[in-house]
Amino acid sequence: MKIRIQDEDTHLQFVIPTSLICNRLATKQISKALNRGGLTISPEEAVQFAKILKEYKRHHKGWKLIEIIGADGSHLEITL
Amino acid sequence: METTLGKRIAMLRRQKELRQDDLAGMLDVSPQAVSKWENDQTCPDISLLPRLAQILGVTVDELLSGKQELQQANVKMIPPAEQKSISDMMLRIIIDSADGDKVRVNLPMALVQLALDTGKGLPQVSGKDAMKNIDLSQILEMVRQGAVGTLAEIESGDGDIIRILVE
Repeated sequence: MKIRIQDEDTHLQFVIPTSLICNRLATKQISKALNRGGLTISPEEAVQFAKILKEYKRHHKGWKLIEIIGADGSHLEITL
Repeated sequence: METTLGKRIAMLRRQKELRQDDLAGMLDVSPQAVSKWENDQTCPDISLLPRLAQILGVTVDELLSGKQELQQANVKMIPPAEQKSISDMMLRIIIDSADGDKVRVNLPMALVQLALDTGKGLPQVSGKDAMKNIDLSQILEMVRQGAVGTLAEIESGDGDIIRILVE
């Protein structure tokens, strides 16, 4: 997973192994964080979602999950 | 939002996941020429505009003026024998807000299907009220029937444009 954040003053890029977020421990924490944010999702459901993302990524390399381009020229991109 | 031609070319090129070299090759110009366009040092030759617009997926008018034309919903019905499996398809949510922000989300249809099966709704990616009225189950049903393309296009009262595409 590649996360790119860019604006006038900043240009950051993180590369995170997908396996680090698509495992039971990580999905449990992600589920807790999402629940706090108002999206109810159980750890089991989060595992199912992570499996789908992982499988999809295998067949669609360079797939951009989300891209946000701000009016001020700032840019956020998450590529799996 | 007011942007220059060069900034629009750069943004559209990135959306298409093309490098400057790739775009230059397609137009038979040098990468330096593309760089100069994107930095507003020069403009593309008028004869290149139709091809440039086609590559970037916009009309020449949209490229030059920066104003997006609301296109007629462009939906195709694929015969059952030619339909892809839902697990190979992607749902794209494209939001162009009146403020000039742009959001692009690409979700595997299998994920959307699972979300519906578990009672989740469409992710509120931008907090826009127009998103809340989109019935994801109907979109999934259309996809099961073989529909691909722009399945929904909404212009809110605030001037936000939201498109839902499946491919």
